[in-house]
Amino acid sequence: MQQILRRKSMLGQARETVSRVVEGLKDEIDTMQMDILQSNQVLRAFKQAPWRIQTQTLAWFSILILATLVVGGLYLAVASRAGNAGRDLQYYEQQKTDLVRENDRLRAQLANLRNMDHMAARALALGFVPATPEQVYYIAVDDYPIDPGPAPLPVTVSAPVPATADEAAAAALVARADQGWLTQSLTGLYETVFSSGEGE
Amino acid sequence: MQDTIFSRLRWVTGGMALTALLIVFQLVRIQFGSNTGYFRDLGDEVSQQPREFAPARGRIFDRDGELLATNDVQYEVGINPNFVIRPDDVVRVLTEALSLSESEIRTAIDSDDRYVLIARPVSAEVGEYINRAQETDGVNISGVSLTPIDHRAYPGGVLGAGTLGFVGYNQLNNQIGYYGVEGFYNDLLSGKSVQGIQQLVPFDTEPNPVPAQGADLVLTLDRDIQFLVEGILRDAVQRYGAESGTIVVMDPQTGEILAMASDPSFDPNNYGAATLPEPLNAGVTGQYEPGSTFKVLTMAAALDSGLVTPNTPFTDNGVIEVGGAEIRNWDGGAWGAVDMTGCMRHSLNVCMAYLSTSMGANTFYDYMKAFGIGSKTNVDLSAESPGHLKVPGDTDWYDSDLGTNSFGQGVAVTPLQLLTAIGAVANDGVMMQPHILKEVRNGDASHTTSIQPLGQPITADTARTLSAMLATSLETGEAQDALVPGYRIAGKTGTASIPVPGGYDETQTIASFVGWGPIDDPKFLVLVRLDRPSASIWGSETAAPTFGVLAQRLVVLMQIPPDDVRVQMAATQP
Repeated sequence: MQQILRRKSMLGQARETVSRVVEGLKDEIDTMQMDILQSNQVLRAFKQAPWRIQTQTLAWFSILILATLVVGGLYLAVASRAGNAGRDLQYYEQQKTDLVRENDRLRAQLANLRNMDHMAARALALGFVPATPEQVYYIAVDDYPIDPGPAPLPVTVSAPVPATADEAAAAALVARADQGWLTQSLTGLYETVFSSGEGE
Repeated sequence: MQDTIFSRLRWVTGGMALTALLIVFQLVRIQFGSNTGYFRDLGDEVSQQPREFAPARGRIFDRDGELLATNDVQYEVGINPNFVIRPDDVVRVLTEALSLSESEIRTAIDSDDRYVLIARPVSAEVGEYINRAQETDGVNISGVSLTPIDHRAYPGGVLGAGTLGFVGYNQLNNQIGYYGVEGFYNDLLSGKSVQGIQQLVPFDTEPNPVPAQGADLVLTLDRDIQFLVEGILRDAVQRYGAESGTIVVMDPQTGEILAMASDPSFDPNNYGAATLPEPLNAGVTGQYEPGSTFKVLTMAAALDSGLVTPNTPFTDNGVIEVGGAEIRNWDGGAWGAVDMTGCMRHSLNVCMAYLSTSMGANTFYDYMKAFGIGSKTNVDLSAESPGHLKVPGDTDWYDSDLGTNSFGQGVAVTPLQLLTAIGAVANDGVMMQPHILKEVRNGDASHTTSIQPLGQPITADTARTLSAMLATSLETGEAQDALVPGYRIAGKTGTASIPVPGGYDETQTIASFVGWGPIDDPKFLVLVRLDRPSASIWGSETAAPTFGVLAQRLVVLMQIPPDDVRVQMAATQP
């Protein structure tokens, strides 16, 4: 019985303790709510007027438009210069083509005026006549250097065909002729001739 | 009321915004959507054009730098009917410039087509006339289109036409060289074109790619000699009533071709105007049975093989049997006791057949092969023929061929092939490679071809001996019209029968002459060939005088002093 009474007493103490804690918490909540209410009152106090917000929005928009215009303007300027340069390039390329053609035409015209028919006709009209060997006089001048003639021939010629030449000897000579001197002579010619034109 | 306006404005604004949004959406879809490639291609079609950037074709010069082939401009004239504003002006200008009637021009102007071709090609002068009209105040010929065309021009006209060839256009409208130098060196002359894109929008324009220019060629041809040769050949063909003719002039010491002419010829500036001669360049293509000029080679083989000397006697009975065939002289007569010089002087077939049979087939044909008979010379000209030499073992060779071949029957050569072979006799036994290219130039790069011996079929002694024999036989024989006073010339006439089915044409011949001089230092080697001359069938009466006329002018043009002056000059040399 005593134990029961002791437990009841302990239970009562516990209740009181809990009640005190709850009360403390309530006070704390009330304090916080008051703080919150006070803080709301501060925000409301500094909120901007609507016309200011509109002005700011307009300013940002204007800045954006201005930046776009500046960038667009720069782009247009650069593009316009590129376009002009392109037009100039096209013009100069065309002019180059025209000048090359004109040069060719003039060169052909000059060659036509210098062709043998014209020259011979003019010479005859001027009273010239073809010379005969009897009309040409050669004078021997002492120590006058004369054209030494063609360079000595290469020594790669084949031996003469002997009287008893067999097929092999003749075949060797024929093979020499068939080797294609031009193929040998022109070896590397294409590379030599066209190397300067490539990569320009 | 105000609410209605604001409501409508809102709708309009909304509609515009929606449209703008759709446009932006479409732009984004075109730029980044699944059909990007299609739209890009569509844009490229309009803004750029694939184009072949072709270089100017190289020019061709003679050995002294005179232009033989160059580039010129011609025009294509067309009408865009939709752009014609003043038809009367267009009709007046075009009828004045072109040989077209007013009705033809008016039909073109009234056409529903976008473009009507009026004339192609027209000359540069006509193009300039139309250009000037376009710039004249008070004249409006808008709608007339003038397109430049690259054109190959030959300032000399027919001069060297067969040797130069001509330039035509292939299916892609590119210039292609045909025949002669133009054909053989087409790759060098045409350069290397470059495939590129031509940007039509200025923003994207880039410099045009630069193709490798066509190389300029300097030939061994001498324009003055070529002109002289063509004039003399034309005259000879007319004078002797020949069907056609060929003359080739070569420097026997270098193999350089100085002139090569065929008659009839053609104008390469307008090669489509008439039927082209066949063959176009008989010097390298026209193979024929050479007849007696071939005897030079037979005698060279006989001397070189040690079978005979110039003084070896021979008794001509007027007939010899070889392989079952009877061979007789050109006049059917018997000339009795002669020596080898006499054999050449009288051009005895019987003597030649005796020599070839005495040498034997192997030796004779070995020599002929060594002279390059039956093989191409590999000259740098298009369409060279190899000729034809039958040898023992061939199905078409018979024993009698050994006899007939010895005097140039049953064997086919080209003029250049025979000239090259006989060049060995003129040039101390050394046969030189015939060639026509002297130098290639392209910008700073150049290449000079070197002279090249083909072989030495006979010794220098044999060559000198035979030259002297031929000079003597010319001086005392029937072809003295070929001589040039003051100069020792060697040469041999030829009167070749023309093979026809079943035998030879008894009435017509190919008359020819091969000669060179001065024989101690030969500067020119000439072959004259006249086909079917009607005035006389004999080479001594047609080709030999033609050679004589030419040689008399050649020694002046080539500044070759007479023999006595040269001896005197040599004596004064330090």
